[in-house]
Amino acid sequence: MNQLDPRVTIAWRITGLIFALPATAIIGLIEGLVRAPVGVRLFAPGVIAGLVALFLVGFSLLWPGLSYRFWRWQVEADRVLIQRGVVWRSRSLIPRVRIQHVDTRSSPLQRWLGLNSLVIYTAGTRGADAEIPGLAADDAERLREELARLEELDDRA
Amino acid sequence: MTAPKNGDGWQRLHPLTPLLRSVQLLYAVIAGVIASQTGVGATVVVIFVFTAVFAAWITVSYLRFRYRITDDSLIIIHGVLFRRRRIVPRSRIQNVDLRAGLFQQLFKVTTARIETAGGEATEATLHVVSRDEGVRLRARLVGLAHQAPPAVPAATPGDVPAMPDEPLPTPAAAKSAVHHVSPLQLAVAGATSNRAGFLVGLLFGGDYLFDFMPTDRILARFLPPQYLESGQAVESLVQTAQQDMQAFLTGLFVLGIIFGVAGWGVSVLASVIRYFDFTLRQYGSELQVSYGLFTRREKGFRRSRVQNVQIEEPILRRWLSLASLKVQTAGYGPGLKADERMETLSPIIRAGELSDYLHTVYPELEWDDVEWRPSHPRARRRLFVRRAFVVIVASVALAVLTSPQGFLLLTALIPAWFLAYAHYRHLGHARAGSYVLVREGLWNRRTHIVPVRKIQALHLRQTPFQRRLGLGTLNIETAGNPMELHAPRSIDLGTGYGMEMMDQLATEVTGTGLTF
Repeated sequence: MNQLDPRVTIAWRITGLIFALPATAIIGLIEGLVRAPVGVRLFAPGVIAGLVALFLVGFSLLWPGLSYRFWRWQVEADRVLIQRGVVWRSRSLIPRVRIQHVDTRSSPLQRWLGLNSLVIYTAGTRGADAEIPGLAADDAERLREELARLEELDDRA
Repeated sequence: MTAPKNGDGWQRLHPLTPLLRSVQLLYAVIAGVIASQTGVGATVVVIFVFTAVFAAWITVSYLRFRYRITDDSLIIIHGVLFRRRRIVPRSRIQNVDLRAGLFQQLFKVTTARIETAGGEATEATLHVVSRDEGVRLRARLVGLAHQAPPAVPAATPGDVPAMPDEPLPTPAAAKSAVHHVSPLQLAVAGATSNRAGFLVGLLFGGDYLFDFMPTDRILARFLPPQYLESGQAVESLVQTAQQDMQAFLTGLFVLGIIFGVAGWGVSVLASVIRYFDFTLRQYGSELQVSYGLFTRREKGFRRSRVQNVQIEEPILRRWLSLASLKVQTAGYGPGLKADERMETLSPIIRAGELSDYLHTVYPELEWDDVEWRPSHPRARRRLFVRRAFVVIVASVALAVLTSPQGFLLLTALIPAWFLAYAHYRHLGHARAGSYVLVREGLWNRRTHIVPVRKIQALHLRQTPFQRRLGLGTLNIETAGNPMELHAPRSIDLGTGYGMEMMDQLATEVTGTGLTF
């Protein structure tokens, strides 16, 4: 089975770090507000916020690597397979005859890295049933076209 | 958009619409209450102005609302400030529901809701039309007698091709089956639903806060008078507990019985009111259900639109060989309340009748010949460990917080082991012709029947613990599964077996082609 484009880990790491910033700020703020009335003294002000920041940064740097290692996808003649999850594993199978439409989309960060996400929709309720997040832009376009071709078959039938 | 003339098939809503919508005039009163802070004059002016504005709005929106059924769609024109024209293709309509509240029943009118697959909310609401008009609408929009000839299956993205493969019924063949549920059966349905426990909690909390049940007066007969606090059954009981153990236990028992009986009673009453006069009719391949005492619901849908069927058997029903039946038609979006998102096919039936009822939806399914296959035997270990974990944590916490006697709670591991084995017996999956069947649940067993051609996607998921045991849960996705939790799934299959099953199903799905 195919792996994602390795550059996706860069996108994931940066996203994680961007998220870590406001999260740390909020924790720090709460810590400050709670400390004042309760009078809890940890070793120094901002210890909790510091630990949270350390955890978030570590997590954002390490987790994408693991996530990448367990991500696999494959498009076969009649089905799309997606396998993922570090702790909670899942393996999804979408029969190609059930695909309603396929999107590619990219965030500014992904565009900068030359990546695209491929999103597959079926008539199941939860909107997108499957997303392949890090594909080289060309690959994603090519796949989208290929997956859409089956829909055309239906038109001619 | 020019104003349509009444002549070319355009119709208005029922003339009582403005009257029934005049409840909205209450907003004027609310505005008046707010304005009353400033003075009498202002209040009068505000109420007058708001009433006039709302009355005008209601009247104008009634006058602007027109609808019309063409050969292939329902067209609605409406809007006061923004004019809208909505076209709902008939082939996309999943169900047409008629719902009449108490007032609406008195005036013989009803609200018609037209549902299509996908979308958050109801696609189109006609509030209100006469009951006869509602029945006509339903017949024309979902009835097969008027179905358009099988058109070229369109395949624009997000679209749901119609299923023209159902044979057209001859007029004489209409109304081939009628099932009726009596109030007594409904009472049994209420008594055997697992709702009583929840209602006991609700009543208990309600009584504690608002004291609406005569609990304290009844308790006064059982508790020594010196501990009684007026109007507070729970407080009295707590007082007694500290002084007189025997009286406390008696009181607790009595209180338990009161709330138990009350909760059960409410559950029975709720079931009888909600499903009063439940009738299931079958016209060829169109199914119609109608039920309800105060709010009368009439729903109609085509058999070919049923995505999956769910059989619910709470433990009391299993003991009495009873079950209830629901169908998922994919017509209801996530915007609706949980119990509105599936159609009830029967609130209560004997297990022996299941086969009959299932035939109305899936004529090819041979329910009595279904051979259930168990989940992987290692599932028992997982089901036990899951319960054991809770028991161990609770007993350790109890021992640490109170006394070492807390470890006595560990004896609960024995019933936990039996429960795990009982639970395992209710897990299972089966194949029967072109259907997949899966079931799960100990206290409330749910069985799902999914036609292979309705499968949209398949997922095999593993929690870390399942992974260690080489197990996985197979989720079968169809359109309109309301919640992941109550969607069709088979718990704890062996990983290899689960993947094989997934592959096999995918191949079969591909074989059914581009149907929906």
